[in-house]
Amino acid sequence: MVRLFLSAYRSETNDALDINHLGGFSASTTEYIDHFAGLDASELSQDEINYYRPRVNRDFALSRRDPVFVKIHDAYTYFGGTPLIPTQGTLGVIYLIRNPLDIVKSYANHYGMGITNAIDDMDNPELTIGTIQKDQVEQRLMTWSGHVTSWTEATPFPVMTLRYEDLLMNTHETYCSLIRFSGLPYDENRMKIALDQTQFENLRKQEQNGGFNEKPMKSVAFFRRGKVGGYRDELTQAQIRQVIDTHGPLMKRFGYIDEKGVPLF
Amino acid sequence: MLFTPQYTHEHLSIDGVTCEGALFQSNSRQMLISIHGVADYLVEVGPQVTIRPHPNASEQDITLFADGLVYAVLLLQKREYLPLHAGAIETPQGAVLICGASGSGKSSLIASFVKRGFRFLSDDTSPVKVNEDGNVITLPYLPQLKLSRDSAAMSGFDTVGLQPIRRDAKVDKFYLDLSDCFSNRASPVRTVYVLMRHSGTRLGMEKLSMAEKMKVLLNRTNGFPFIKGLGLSEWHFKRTADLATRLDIKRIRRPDGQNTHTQITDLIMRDLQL
Repeated sequence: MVRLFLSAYRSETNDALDINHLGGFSASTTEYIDHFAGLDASELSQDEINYYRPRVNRDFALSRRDPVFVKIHDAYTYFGGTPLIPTQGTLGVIYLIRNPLDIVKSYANHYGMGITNAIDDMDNPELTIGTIQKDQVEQRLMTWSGHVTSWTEATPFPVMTLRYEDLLMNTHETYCSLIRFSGLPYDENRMKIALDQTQFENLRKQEQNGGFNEKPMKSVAFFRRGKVGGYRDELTQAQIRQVIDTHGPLMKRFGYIDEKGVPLF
Repeated sequence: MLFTPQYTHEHLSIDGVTCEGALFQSNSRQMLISIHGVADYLVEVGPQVTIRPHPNASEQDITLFADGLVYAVLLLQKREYLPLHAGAIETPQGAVLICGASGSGKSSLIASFVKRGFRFLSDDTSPVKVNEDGNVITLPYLPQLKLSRDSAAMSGFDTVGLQPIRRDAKVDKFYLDLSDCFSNRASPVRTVYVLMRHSGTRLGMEKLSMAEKMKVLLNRTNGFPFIKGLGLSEWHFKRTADLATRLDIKRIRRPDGQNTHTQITDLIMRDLQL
């Protein structure tokens, strides 16, 4: 969502946003390693890729003349003592967080699995995603709580935590905050265009008509529902309780449950 | 390897470093590339290549990176050929180059063409240049294709006795010896096809605009990260622009998750009227 918005906001034309030709970079792809390391990722072992990823990220960050946005799925982790994301060259991080109760179904859909397995995955400290066969490097996610903690506590660069729910319910103000944090100039006209072009229904229709290159094969659609609180129709009470019992402290911290553990969305 | 390196156990370094990257240091005449756990490669204008193996490195691994990275740097240093990250086969219409990201199916597609009797030119480095007649030509490279065992089997090749490209088979790729069907002569380039996965169900092909052709050629140059370190940014851009005006480049959108090599081969052959 954020990447789509930024592509639309920073576009130099008023042409319709093409969801299959976005700006910025993704540090999750083998193409990123191939291009910025000069190595063929398919000829490297996973340990070697893990060795090079922090170095490629650092080299990429320091070589840019102008700020760029780079998408990453990984938790903020270290490889052999070297942080995956370089301190020098990183101006800041926009960390997009979502209610884990809603993530469950979204994750299950994305990877073509059942709810129970998705909940288990979100509690797996060794969880990784991505394979070279699917043009992705292996990315370490950790548990949902571990992932959130890694990015929101004690990072050496500014981090703006954006709630997905705020993007949907308080769109204009949330994106204005993002623009300010990013140091981008504010342009009311570009804001209007970007907000219009990234309305969920527009994205869903575009995917229906022309597909979305980043949709996993197992997933029926990438732009699926986008609704806040959709978990109430999709998870059982026991499953909801399991997620809250596992991730309660951070859910409370980010306003997803109250003091008594009752969901707020 | 097509060049004869010197081997040393002495520490390699270069003076007056003007550019550094994740894997390299360079000045105007030298590039020092370090591959973790394999070797340091000093590539100097001349050309001269000196290799310092890392402890316990295998000849197999040293050769793999020499054949790829070092060869690309040597080509760039000569400022004659642009090393495209593409495989190539020879057809009656000229060479057909297949471009794409790692894992996009380039080598499997090349294997599919070889199985249909076309001569093999190269696996993943296709040097191209504009010759005196204004035609774009490409050179052959090593008579071997790197494939996963499954891809080799699916393409109809015997997988018994295949040598892994890395020691201890740390990656699932093996060398397929194509000496029997190797074309060892320069060939005019007919068309470049860029493979791209998509989430749709249909196989499609489209011509690229000039801007898209430039982007492909710029981004699909082997050794791209080293170009600035070699002082070749302007040369690279100009050479790419010239090639983009002369080359026929098309994108093939292939459905994700499907084994479409036969269909893609058919599509290309129809496109070339073979």
